[in-house]
Amino acid sequence: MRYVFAIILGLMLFSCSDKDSNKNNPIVPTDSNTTFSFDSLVIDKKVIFTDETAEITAYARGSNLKYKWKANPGIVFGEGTKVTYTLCHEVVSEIICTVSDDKGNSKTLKDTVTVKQKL
Amino acid sequence: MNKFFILAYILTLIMSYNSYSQCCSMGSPIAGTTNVGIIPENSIRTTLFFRNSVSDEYYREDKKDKIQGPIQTADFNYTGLMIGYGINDNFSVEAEIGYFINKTQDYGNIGKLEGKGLSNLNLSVKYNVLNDLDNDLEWTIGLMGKIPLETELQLYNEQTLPVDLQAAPRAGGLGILSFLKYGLPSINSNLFMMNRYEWTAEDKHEYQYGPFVSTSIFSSTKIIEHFAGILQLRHEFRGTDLEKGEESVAPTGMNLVFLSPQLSYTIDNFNISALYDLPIYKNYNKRQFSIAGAFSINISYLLDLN
Repeated sequence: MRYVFAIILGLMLFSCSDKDSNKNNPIVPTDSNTTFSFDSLVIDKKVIFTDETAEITAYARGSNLKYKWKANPGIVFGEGTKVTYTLCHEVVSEIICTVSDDKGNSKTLKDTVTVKQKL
Repeated sequence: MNKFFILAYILTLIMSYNSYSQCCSMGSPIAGTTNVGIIPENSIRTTLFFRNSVSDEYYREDKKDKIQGPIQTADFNYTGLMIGYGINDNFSVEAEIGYFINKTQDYGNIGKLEGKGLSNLNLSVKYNVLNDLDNDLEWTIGLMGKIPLETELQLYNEQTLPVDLQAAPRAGGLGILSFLKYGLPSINSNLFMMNRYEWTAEDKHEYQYGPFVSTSIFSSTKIIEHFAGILQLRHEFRGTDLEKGEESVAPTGMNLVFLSPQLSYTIDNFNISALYDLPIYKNYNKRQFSIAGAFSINISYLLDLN
């Protein structure tokens, strides 16, 4: 009985930690054999300071998806569905993401990140 | 003649070209006393130099910014080759080409950005306006043309790298040089003053680097046979860059003052020299990543074709 209780407790703990990790790292549906769609561009912080970063996630579906990122001004760091943006001076930067699949479908979404300086 | 070679080599180490690099950045590849004096008639002077520059903190105007980041460190490694020929004792022509082995900005956990590549090809003519042997006074002026070797912007993941990571301006330009030497034989020393002005044209992307003005005063003293010590005080001014005719979005422009001790070893027609550029005053337009220091090493050889 004691062993059964321990196994059940272990399963519960494993289940909890799995839920937590999903909360921090949302599953981004990509490269599935579904109809192409580029649903949203999600920025975790729309306003950042010069010593901070913003995480940007592209939510898209389709087969063999390709992500092309651009910031104006600045540079988007990283590749794929989730990237990072930062800049060392004040600016309102446009973040542009173009997702395309292997069937010739393509869609571009834009959003902005405001970079401010702490005084 | 040996005294002349020592002088020529010292000059060879105090200033080199390609004085660009901006914002969030790490200073210019200007080394010490490179390529200033006149080359003896029918002689070829070859100079190979290397420079490492490191930046490590943000400045807001003339003070360290309380807020650091996002760049953690930045550095570049630059190597250059200069070849000059003395047409006569008053007139020489020179060519210089350089290569950025890397221009790197480290953003810590986020990643690194890196540019590299050829700098401009610089062609210059120098003329010895005054050579007063009685008063040990010499004045040389020069005119330089900058020819871009790379016209395309460097990329990171299909995005244009920041301008300060581009290896060179993608446009030509002009430069004016002046070099004044005053000998103090009674104390076995020489005083020098050098001025330099550079203008860069707008590139095809409608970006134009700000003008660059450098003034340096230095003194050289023979320490022991073959060894000379040089102490240089140098001011560099860089105007703000223009984008489509307006001030660039990224802050550019600065005033820097360096103190540069240098040690030079000369034997026959060969010279090797090392120097360190220590910034003693920094004043940036708005907030920029600032230079911490730079180390340079130069090797020169003068071939007498006579």
